[in-house]
Amino acid sequence: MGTLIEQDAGRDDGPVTGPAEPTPAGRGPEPREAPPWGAPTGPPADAARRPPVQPAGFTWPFESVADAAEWWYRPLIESRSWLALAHLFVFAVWGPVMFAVAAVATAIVVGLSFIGVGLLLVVPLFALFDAFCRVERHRAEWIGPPIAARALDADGGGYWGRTRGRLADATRWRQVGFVAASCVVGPVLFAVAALPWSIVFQFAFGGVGWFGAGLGGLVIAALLVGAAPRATIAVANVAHAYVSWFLGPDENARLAGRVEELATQRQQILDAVDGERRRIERNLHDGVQQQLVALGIDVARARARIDDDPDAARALLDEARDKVRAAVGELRLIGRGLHPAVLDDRGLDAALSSVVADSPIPISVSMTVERRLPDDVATTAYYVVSEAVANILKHSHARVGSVRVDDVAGPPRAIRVTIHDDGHGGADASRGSGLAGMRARVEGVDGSFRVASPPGGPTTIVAVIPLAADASRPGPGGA
Amino acid sequence: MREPVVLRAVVADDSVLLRDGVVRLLEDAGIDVVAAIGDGDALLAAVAEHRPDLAIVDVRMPPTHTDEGIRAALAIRSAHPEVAVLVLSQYVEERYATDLLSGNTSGVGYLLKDRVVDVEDFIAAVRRVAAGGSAVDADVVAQLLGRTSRGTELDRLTPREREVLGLMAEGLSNSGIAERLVISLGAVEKHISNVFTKLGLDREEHAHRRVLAVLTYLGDRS
Repeated sequence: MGTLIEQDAGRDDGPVTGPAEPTPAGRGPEPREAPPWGAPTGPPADAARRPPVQPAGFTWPFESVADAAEWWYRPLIESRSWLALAHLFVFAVWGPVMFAVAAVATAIVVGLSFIGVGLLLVVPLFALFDAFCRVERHRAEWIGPPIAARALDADGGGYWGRTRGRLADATRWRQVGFVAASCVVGPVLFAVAALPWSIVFQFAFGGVGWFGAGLGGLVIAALLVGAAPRATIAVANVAHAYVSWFLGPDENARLAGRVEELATQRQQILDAVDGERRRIERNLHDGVQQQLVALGIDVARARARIDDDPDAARALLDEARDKVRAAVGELRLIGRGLHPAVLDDRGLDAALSSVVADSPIPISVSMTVERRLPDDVATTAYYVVSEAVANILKHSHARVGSVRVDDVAGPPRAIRVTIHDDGHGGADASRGSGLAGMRARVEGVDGSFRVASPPGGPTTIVAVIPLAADASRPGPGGA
Repeated sequence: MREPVVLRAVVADDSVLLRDGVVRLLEDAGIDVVAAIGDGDALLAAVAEHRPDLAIVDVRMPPTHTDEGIRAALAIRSAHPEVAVLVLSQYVEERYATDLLSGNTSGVGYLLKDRVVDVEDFIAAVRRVAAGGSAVDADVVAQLLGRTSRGTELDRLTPREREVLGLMAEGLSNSGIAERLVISLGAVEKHISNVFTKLGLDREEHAHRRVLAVLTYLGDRS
């Protein structure tokens, strides 16, 4: 369970930046907290957010010149500007070095391959590329959100299997491409980023012939210097997108996996719905209907006796009344199994209490989630608990049980429903039982479902139900 | 129709409540219930042991709760043709009816469970089936009448003739039909004669062969 949450958390924090999305605004998972890289910060952004109160046409977004100056020069004192410049500088130097080291290593391996020995070094060679790429992915955090690793193929069996696997893995060759391209891309990006700085310096300290140094040059330099860090950040964003494109996760593969997963879940839900309907039909036909027919028999027999043997008729009518009570009680159970009215009226806590109220063994309910839950979450939780409790009473021979509902901090935020009993265990979700329906139901809302029920018991069922299901979010069994 | 002095019956139903009700109902009517059991295997054993006149069988019984009753009924039909079988079902299922009634409809019945409550009709159906007649639930007949592809031919029947056709399909004898519709036996015979002529059916003497003819006619979807 915990691992699932961690996986989800990793994915959620992970960047979703693909090659088609070079604009930094779409990169951060929570743009409200961290302003998008490179976007102008401060008053213009604020002004842009309240167009209704602004008159039409151009409006000066600053209240004073000091405000304007503060906005223009602020990037100069922001650490991210200098971090970006540092990143680009390191990249410009390290890119060619990395390439050179990798090129020499590759040349050695290829050369040795002619006498066979080199093939033994294919795996370490790719490991070298992988290490370089790992460093660059982590270094990219200087200039943007973390980049998750693109999935590598699973290792084949044996050394040769691994060697063949390395050579066939498109992600590995992407890494090779990254190292090769970085030899050029690193210096070029730094050159582009350095250009505005160099222009500012030219104005300030001479070298631009027709204007020269002096007061005028200094003034122009002072006016222009606000643009330089902005350009640096823009270039850094390009660098980040470059690293992400080569080394970031394959969005298509992730989505394809997600689609497959959703299709499976949909089928499971359909099956679960089908199973539920069948169960309801059986409860109606084999339960209530039989009781009503038996009741009708009593009434018919009473009617036949009413003149000759009124006492017998009275006794039969008493039996009939008992059968009416039993039938009504059963209808109530069936209805509550479909959807408990108390869930709407009083919330999950009250509904769960009513589930265990009729239990012949003590089953405690503790719910630490105070607030009202979304309807689908509450219904799913209720369904899981009522099924699990029914199983406990029907199959487990338990002496005591417990139901607990608590929060999972997330992300994603979720509730955890734990049902425990001390019965003889042996519940198996893969066999046709209520468990399969429960699993389908929980996984259908992107939750996770786990049963621990060794023979001899005890049985613990844990369902984690996220507070908001999201079709694009990787689920627990995701790619 | 011959009526044995004391009918001997076995009742198979997994709902204890309903089984007891049916048993008491039969006993009230002077029918001797020699065994009351809860599943198909026990039913076959009881039939082999007691050789009753009639077996009253619930369709859904353990272990699978699907059509055990139908299968047990067919098994009884082939192993002990002299034992009549009346199948009770929670709902109308044409397939069950056709499975049961294809071939020999003598001593076979298929009724909805709720019919039990109309005690006199139910006991009459029990005695009819036990005596080698047949009993087909009115709902099944109505379904067949409503869904048959022979709508145009049925349209040629008068409402009364349609009614008579339905009762024939249910397995009622001429006198049974006369009683139900509160008309004279002669009037029934005239209606039946008209129905057979209009639909081109063979004139059958025995009620159960008539049932078969009518059901075959209705069930024919060609």
